[in-house]
This record gives sequence, structure tokens and C-alpha cells, in this order.
Amino acid sequence: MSGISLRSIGKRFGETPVLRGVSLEIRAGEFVSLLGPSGCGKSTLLRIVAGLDSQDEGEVLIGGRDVSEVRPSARDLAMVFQSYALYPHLTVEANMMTPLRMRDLGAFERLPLLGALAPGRAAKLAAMRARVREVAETLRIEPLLARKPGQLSGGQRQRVALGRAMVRKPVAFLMDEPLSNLDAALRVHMRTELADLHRQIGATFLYVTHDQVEAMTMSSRIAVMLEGSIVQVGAPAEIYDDPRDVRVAEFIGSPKINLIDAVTDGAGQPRIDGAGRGGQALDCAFAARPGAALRLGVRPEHLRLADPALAPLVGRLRHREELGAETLCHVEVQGGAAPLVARVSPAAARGLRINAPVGLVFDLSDIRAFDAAGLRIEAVSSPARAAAHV
Amino acid sequence: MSEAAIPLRRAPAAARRRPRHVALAGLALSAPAIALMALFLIGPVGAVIGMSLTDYQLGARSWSFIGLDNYSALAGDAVFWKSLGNTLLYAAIVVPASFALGLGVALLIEAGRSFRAFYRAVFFVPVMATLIAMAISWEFMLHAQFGLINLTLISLGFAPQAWLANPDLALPTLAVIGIWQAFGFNMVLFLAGLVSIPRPLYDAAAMDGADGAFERFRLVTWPMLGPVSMFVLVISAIRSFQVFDTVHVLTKGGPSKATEVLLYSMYAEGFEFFRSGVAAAIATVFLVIVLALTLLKARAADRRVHYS
Amino acid sequence: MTARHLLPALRHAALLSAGFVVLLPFFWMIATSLKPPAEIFLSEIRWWPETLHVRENYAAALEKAPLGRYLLNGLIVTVSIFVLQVMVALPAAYALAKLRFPGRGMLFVLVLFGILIPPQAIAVPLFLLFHQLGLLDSYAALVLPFTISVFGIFLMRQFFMTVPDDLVDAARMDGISEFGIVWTVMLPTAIPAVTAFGIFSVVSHWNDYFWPLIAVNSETLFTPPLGVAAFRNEEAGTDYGPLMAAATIVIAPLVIAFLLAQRRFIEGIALTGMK
Repeated sequence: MSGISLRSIGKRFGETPVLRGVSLEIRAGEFVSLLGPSGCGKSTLLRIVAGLDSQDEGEVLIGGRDVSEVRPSARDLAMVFQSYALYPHLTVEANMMTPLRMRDLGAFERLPLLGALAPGRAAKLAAMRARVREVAETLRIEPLLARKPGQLSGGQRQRVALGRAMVRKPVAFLMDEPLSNLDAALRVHMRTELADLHRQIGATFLYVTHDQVEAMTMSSRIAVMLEGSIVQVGAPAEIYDDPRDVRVAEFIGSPKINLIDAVTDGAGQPRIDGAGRGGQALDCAFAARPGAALRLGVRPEHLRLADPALAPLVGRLRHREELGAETLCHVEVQGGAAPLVARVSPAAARGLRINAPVGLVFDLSDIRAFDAAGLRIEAVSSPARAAAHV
Repeated sequence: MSEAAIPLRRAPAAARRRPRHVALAGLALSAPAIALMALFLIGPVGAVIGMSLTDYQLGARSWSFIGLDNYSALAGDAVFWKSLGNTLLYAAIVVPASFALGLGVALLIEAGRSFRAFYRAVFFVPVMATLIAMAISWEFMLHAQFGLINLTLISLGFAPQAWLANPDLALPTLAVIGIWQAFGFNMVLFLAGLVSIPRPLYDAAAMDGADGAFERFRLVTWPMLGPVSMFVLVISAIRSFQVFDTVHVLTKGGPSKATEVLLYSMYAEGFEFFRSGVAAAIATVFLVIVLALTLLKARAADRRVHYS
Repeated sequence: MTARHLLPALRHAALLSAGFVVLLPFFWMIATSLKPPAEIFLSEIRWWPETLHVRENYAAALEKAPLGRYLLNGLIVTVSIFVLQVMVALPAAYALAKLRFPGRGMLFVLVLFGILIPPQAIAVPLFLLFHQLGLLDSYAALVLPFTISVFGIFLMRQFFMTVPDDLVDAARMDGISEFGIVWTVMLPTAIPAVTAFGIFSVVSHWNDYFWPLIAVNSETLFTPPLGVAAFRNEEAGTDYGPLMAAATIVIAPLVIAFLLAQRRFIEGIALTGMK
């Protein structure tokens, strides 16, 4: 078990840069997710770590050793592929044995027929079988060992792919969207199992996904990747509560964070254009020069319904999604581009009719402000005194 | 991961920069194929064109470059024109007939549920049976005196024919053997095409009021078979131009050049008279015709594909 | 009888009569191979011999021509061709489908071009090449020109394109070399495609007449079509019983194999449709 360091990895496909100087430290035993939308370069980064692709710039260190020139199989990593990539012609047991055979048997010992003559081969094979059995037990797939991949369900194949990765006790596991081919129920279940497995074997996991729920639920840390760069690295709660970039704020969380355009006044206090109470400034201040355009992010669960006469934001209810435990109210604010979404209790939304005027309130401490370039701006004075109603 | 939707991004695996040893492996793995292709395929194509510009004769001590003389000699040679004409005539009989029979039988087989595999097998046997052996069987059936065909004609009150000895009948007779041998192959291609027509199209046609067999054929089957039909036409034409086995065994180009076809002329020039240069010129003409047919198909295919 | 019953009946009637005509040459060949000369040279149609002359005709055929040798030659030639084709084509197809190397695009263009070349068109230079090498009239002359099957490369490449890249990457992670991947990963997944190609290859080379006619002279090297044609030239229409027996023997192996596995055969040979 060892850590992985990525140092300014750059990669381009032809003219197109895919990775732009990506650096990341993964400590031994950590579960790090590379989270990002399709095409952000996260899979390419994983393949570079695996040695399946080579980087154009930068270096990959595993356990402190530069492995840039080392073949994939010699990096002592294991990979779980999105499509599982099981050998269709081999049984589950033979599939799981393959990495061990390649590592522990010499070229002569691997020969069909002739190989059987090699001394000590039988003992080696027995040891491999024992190891396969041990892993199969951990994953509860012993009854499947004699079957071919074609006879397995998606979930079973997933376990076999995990098993093949586990048998040789690699220094780290690389996983490329391993749950995305499973149905929803199984995916939820496997999330728990993977997290359990990580705790149990304590190995380093580098996990690529575009599914924020997977990343949030399993990871020790998440690295959010956008357009070939890592934008933010942090624990799941940190990424959610303290996004450093508006794109991170938008990518994480469902429904999406609400973004409200505002302009700072002379005191750095944001004024929301054309909305409620005549565009009065909010009682908080940000480190921005006067007149700067701001985007104020407020998560749906931080918006509450209120009397339109008193609220800083006023609009009409366009749509209501009743989800049982909560209700999502889509409110069209005058002057606002997209409707704002408030996640409220069903009781709070009861009796509201479509098109009814609605006020929205929020705590000033829940505001995350971003500048025109999308970077986070800190509040200058602590908004501790701020009350629920501005 | 389906990241292809966004243009930046993931090139197909093979298009990505790989460690150098992968490029070396690619070269090493294709090296035998490249060498053999150069030796037995691409090289000979160049050689055949080059040789057609010489007066080379097998075993001759010297040869010289004679430009297009072989071609102008061919252009002035009545036998060559006869040979080319015969080949075209043969194709003109075999292609439409084996197309129509292949399509007709495929439609009949597909029209019902029972005995499909049985019929398919029956019509396919001639495709894979050794043509030389079958030609000998045909020869006996066509025997002027004791052949099954003449005996049948006589018993029905018709006059017997000297099928392979009569200059007017020899080529059409060979064409019939060609049709017999080829249409099962076309049938298989049509069957595959028929199976791939989406059922809902027939349902839609029925809802639109086209419920008669002919209407369904005209509205759905025929247009949807467009690409397959084009394919069958070209394949049949290319194969017809390759007619040789039956000619060599049954008629040797006779009687009086009535069955002289392109490949037979080439064979005779090259391997009986050993005029390699002339044979190479005929081979080049043959090659150009075959390549032209393929190009024709490629161009037509661009226009007539009805699949999405 | 209603139209509902009439249509299937018409379908069977049409297909059965067409099938009868198609199978007639086979039937007539076999029936003739069973007849004594007196029943062959008859001025009336006799569908089935009154006295069977099976032993005499088939013994005469086997005695007059080394049919066993022809069949063995056919087997040797077709199997050698197929094995060599696979050994050459599979690695190249894998490289074309999954590896990036300089000249790959050019190689694929050449493969596509090669498919269009009818083998007869290059017979003259090939003949001269083998003449120069002193290899004419040998098994090598029968086999070597076909060791490169561009069609096989194309077919296997198309198949390998459908094999997920992940599988290849997994094999690399497991430590299998590129050469090893071809034979231990790609070949086993490609068995159906290789089988179809094998049937196509064996049938077309078993039946090939043009090249063997040019390449060999010695009777001991004759393939089945050459052998039966030579037999017929010697007999020149005198002894049809043994001739038909010989033709039947030459056709039997493929036809029997076809009847046993007709679906695979039809798939395999229909592949030539792509050619």
C-alpha cells in the first residue's frame, strides 16, 4: 500500500489539451474520487496513472517512485473497468487467476501442456487457487467460480471484476466508473459494499465517476475535475459547503445551487437587481470593489418560503414537485433568468397555488458569492448577526 | 463512459498516444501481413500492369518495352472483342436471372414459417458444391443422345438439342449452369436483408391501407431491400465476369469461340501460348472492369441507402 | 379449400418444384454413379437403376484415379492455407483494430484495396514469381499465394473493433504482452468469426480450380477439382458410371459437412458477400 503523487500532468490529443497540469497527492489508504462531467479528462488521468496512456508532461509517482516509464503490469496497480473487461472465454476462477499467473509463473510455466513439466508449478498454482478462493469468499462469489462471465448477472460480474483486482494485493485500486453499468438499486447497494471493502482492506482507492452521489458517499476526499484541471480537492462536506469555484458549486448538489445576480454597492454590500423590496442591499459585505457583478449562490434547502411583502426575493410559483419527504418549489423571480428552486417541507408548501406570489428568504450565512470569473469571494464581515429576515 | 458527445475529449483508445512499445508491437504484429501483401498481392498488381506494356514471353531470353502495343493489338483482335462480348452477354443473362430467382425464392421462403431452414439449405447446396464436379454432371445431363434434358424434351415432343456443341446455344447453356450455381447465394443475401426490415414498417403500411402482398412489397420490401439489391447486383456481376471453370472443362471456349470469355482468353494466352505480356494486358482489362463495378457500387450505395 | 390454406400450399408447391430442379444435377449424378453402362446409355429416362452397379463404378473410379490422394491433397492444402491465414491475419487485424502505429492508416487502405483484386487478375505475375523461385508444381505453390488473406484481416479487424478496449487494457494490467493478447485474449473471443472465416476459406480453396490448374502439373499434387477434371478428360464421355462416382466422391466431403452444420456454412460463405 502506498500513496500516489501526480505532478503537473499534461496531456493533449492532437491539438486539444485534455489535461492541463494536473497535480494531486493521494495518501496511502485514502479513497479519492475524481469527479467531473463527461469529457473532463478524469478517465484519461486514471489511465495515465495505470500506465495505459502516457502523459506528455509531468510525472506519476507511486510510493515515491517515478513510474512514468514503467509498464502497466509492473506498476502493481489493479484496475476495475466500467465494462468489467472479464475474459469471456475463461471461467470466473480463471479470470481471477490471470493476473497471478502472469505475475507468478515464468514464461515456460505458462505454456500449455509443456508448462506442466516445470517443477514447482503445481505448488504455485495451488497457492494461487487458495488466494482466489480467499478473495471469492470475501466477495461471496465462491459459488460462481466455475461459471463463465456470460452466465453472470451485472452485479455478479462487478464482484468478479473486483475480485480479479483484489487477488494480487495491489498497492492501489483504480476504478473507472465501475458502478455505471448497474441498475439503480444495485448501484446503491454496491456503494455501501465498496465503502465497506475499502475500510476492510484499507488500500488506496482512486475512483473515477461522474456521479456526485457516488463520490459524496464513498470518498475520503473528492477531486473535482473540470475541463482538464482539478478545480478543488477536499472532503465531501467541504466540497459541498465551501465550493471555491462557481462551476464546482453548480456541479455538486441536486437540485442545482441557485445563482442570483447581484451588484455590490459602495460598502461591498450586494444588491439584488429588480427583486423584492426595491432592490435593497443585503446586510452583508464581500471583498469586491464597488459596482462589481456578483453571483450569489444559495442551495435549495437554504431557501424558505415567506410573505412576499417581507422577502428579499419575490416571484411566482411556476411548478411544484412533491417528493414525499420534501417539496421542490420552482419560483420565477422578476428579472431572474432561471427559476429559483426551494427545497421545503411539504407542510410549508401546502395550499400554495401555481402562479401564486411567493417570497423567498435565506440566512446570509448561507450565501456563497462568486465573482464574474466564477471564483469564490469571501464575506468581509462575519454575518453572524444576520437574522433570518433581511 | 460515453464522452464522445463532447467534442474535446476522449479520442477512441487506438487514436491516443501510447507508450512507444505499443507502436513497435503494432508494426511487429503486422509485419508478416505487410510482407506477404507486398509479395503476393500489391506487387503482382503492379507487375501485371507493367508486364502488359512489354512483349515478354515465358522462357524468352529478352523482352522489351512496347508501350500500349498489346492493347492496340487487342483492340484490333476480333477474338478479344468476341471474348469481351461473350463475357458481357454471359453476365447479362446470369445477373438478372440469378437476381430475380434469388429474390423470388427468398420472398417465398420468408412468406411462411414452415420448412424455412430446409428450403434455404436445398437452394444453397449448389453454391458450395465443387463446380468442376457439378459441371461434369451437367455435361452428362446435357448429353446430346443420352442426357436427361434431351430425353425429357423428346418425351414431351420437342426436338433434342446439341447444347454445348451448337454455337448459338453453348453460351446460354453455360449461363444456365451459372445461374443454377449462383442464385442460392443471392437468396441468402436477400434473406438477410428481409430479416432486417423492421416489422413495424409493415404494420404502418397496413394501417395506411397497403395490405395486399404486392402493395406491401412495393411500399416496404423493395425500397428497404435497396442496399442489398445493389450489393447483389454488383457481386453477381463481378462473379459473372470471373466465369472460367465451366468454360475450361466443358467447351474450351468453343465451338468456334462461342464461349470464349475474358478469363479463358487470359488463361490461354498466358498459360497455353505463354504470351505473358498479352495475358497481362487482358488481366489489366479484367481488373479495370472489376474495380469499375466496385466503384459503381460504392457510389450507388451513397445514394440509395434507406437505413437511417 | 380456403385462401388461408391455399397460400401455404402454393408456397410449398413452388419451392418444392424449384428445389427439385436445383437438386436434379446432384440426383442425376448419384443415380448415374449407381447404374451399369447398359442403363446409362438408354434412350429413355430411367430415374433409378434396375440393377445396382455401386461396387463396380466406385471401385473403377478409385482404381483409375488416385481419388484418395486428391482428397488428401485437398485437405492438406485447405488446412495449411487456413492455418497460415489465421497466423498472419490475426495479429495484423489486432494491430489495425487496437494499436496505434505509424503507417496504420495506409495499411488499412491497402487491405481494402486488396479485397477488390480478383485473384485471377494477378495469376500471370504470380506464376512467373513461382517459376523464378522454382516452386511451381509443389504444395508451396498451391498454398503460399493464399497465406495472405486481406479479406480475413478486414473481417477480423471489424470483429476486434467490437471487442471493448477495456478488455485489452485489463489484459495489459494483468501483464499479458501484445503478442500474448492476440492469442490468449483476442483469438478466444473471436472464435465465431474465425469459424465463419474458416468455412469460407476451406470451401473456396477446396473448390478452387483456376490457380491449381496453373500451379501444378503432377497428378500426385492434384486437388479434387483438378483430379476430377483430369479423370473426365481421360474418360472423354465413354465411362459415365465411374466418372459420376468420382464426381460424387469429390463433392461428398463438403456437402456432408454442409448438411451437418448448414447454418454455420451459410453464415460463413455468405461472408464472401462482403468481398
